[in-house]
Amino acid sequence: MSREAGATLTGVVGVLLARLAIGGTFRQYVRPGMGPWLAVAGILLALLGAVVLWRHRRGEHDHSAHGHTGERAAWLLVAPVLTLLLIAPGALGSFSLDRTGSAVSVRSGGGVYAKLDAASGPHEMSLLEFDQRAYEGTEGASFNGATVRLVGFVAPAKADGFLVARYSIACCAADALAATAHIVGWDGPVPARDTWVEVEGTFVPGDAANPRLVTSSVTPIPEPNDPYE
Amino acid sequence: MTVTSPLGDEATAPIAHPRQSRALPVLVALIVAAAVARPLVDTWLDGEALQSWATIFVAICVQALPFLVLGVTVSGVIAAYVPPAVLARALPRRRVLAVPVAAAAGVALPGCECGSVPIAGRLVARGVTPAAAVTFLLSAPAVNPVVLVATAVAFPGRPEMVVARLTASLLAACVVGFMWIAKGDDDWTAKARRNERDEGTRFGTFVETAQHDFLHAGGFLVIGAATAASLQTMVPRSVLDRVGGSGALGVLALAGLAVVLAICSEADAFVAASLTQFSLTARLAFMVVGPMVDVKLIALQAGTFGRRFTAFVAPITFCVAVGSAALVGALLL
Repeated sequence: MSREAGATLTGVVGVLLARLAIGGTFRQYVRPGMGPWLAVAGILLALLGAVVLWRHRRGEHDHSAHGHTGERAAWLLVAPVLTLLLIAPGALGSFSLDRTGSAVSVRSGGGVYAKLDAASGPHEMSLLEFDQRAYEGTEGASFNGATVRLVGFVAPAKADGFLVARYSIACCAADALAATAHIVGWDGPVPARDTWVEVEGTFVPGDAANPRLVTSSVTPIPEPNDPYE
Repeated sequence: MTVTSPLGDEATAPIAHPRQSRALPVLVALIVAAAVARPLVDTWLDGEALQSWATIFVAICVQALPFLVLGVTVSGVIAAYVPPAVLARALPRRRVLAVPVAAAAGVALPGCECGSVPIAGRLVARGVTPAAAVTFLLSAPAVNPVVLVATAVAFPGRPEMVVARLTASLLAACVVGFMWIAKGDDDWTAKARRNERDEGTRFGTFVETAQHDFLHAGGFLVIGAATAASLQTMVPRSVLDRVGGSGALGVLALAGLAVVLAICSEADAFVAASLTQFSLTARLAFMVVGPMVDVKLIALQAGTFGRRFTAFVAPITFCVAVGSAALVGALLL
């Protein structure tokens, strides 16, 4: 790859990275906390590309440094650029459910949740917390029969009903782990796969792989700003 | 693996005749075509598997880029502002002593594996003995404070996991360093050593080094990200459940998983914590192997140091890391 092309590619990668960071789309790929770092990295890369281009125009360069192989590898950086421009992939959905680790487990540790107040509610909680309360070792006693409200996307269940699922990520989508709730007792229309929904219901114990939620309401909602937990 | 480019190497296209290189027009045409063609190809790029692959591929690249930028910045600073004599004095002259010092120095680099590869390559280029550079390369992503804190958070109430990870990773990095002294050949790092440049001014050297290292490491990062995304999309994780269980098979299964998943060392503890059907020792092996050998790192290392380097270091590191995790796991967990 020529010097000019290399510098241009560096700049393009930097601008795309900064655009992802500033536009918020980066949340479909990595943790929200990465935003500022992505912005800084993107701006630095854009500056680097610009400075090298400027030096090139002025003819400043060490010609003796030429001649080593391997810079052809730089062409591969075009691949993520094209993927972002052409496919612009969204957040992980139901397709990946059985390809990532399922059932976030806290059996190896984790705190004990306080009991919910059954009289008030519905209690909003993450799907991760729902699963953690269910798996706590107390047969989900902390739910105390209270109504809870969960947000996730719709996925097919092996048995009757359907799943509501949401991924937790620690760094990026490559390490996503799913938390799921098995929706039972819902007579209304079942939303299409990958529709984001807000569901309300009560936990029921059971030996199913996914904790069950006897559901009283299912409301389709737009995809949350931060699709992961 | 590299993409064959129809465009000559830079050496054949001196800047005095920029018209000889078609790289820039090709690059611009590709990007403009992609932006324009998006609505046209939208329908057939809608496959679920492709979408999922692309999400993971882009996610790994996006996640790695800030660390790569940190790595090439440090690399550029070393090249431009740190004289080789200073580096030489910082390490003991005897290689056997330089190896543990280099392993401990890894504690000071907050980042993950993508940043440590260009830095280790730069250290070799500046005359640091390859045995020490290899040790640093392996230890830095595994033992820095950010990774250790992440491990403590992922395994609440189990501080011994953090101690075990630190111990097993330092041990494995040192053993590989010693094996390099015994059996390695410093010529296998010749590719990294050729990579010195002098631009006349320090700023010039800094900028050109950072630019070169970014393009170079970035290209190989893309190979690794694509491999990891393909394996993650095609192989269901439930395959693991069939291996399951404890014992040696579980340790090997998770060590192998660490190689193919190529998860950032700052995140692998959370994935390890979720693999509850495996023993703690198996999960320790996952966290010791991952930052040292995975498909993304193999591509990055081969690109920076050369194939013979990787052919020697990657298999040895895998075995040593598994052994070290098994030993430390038996003693501490």
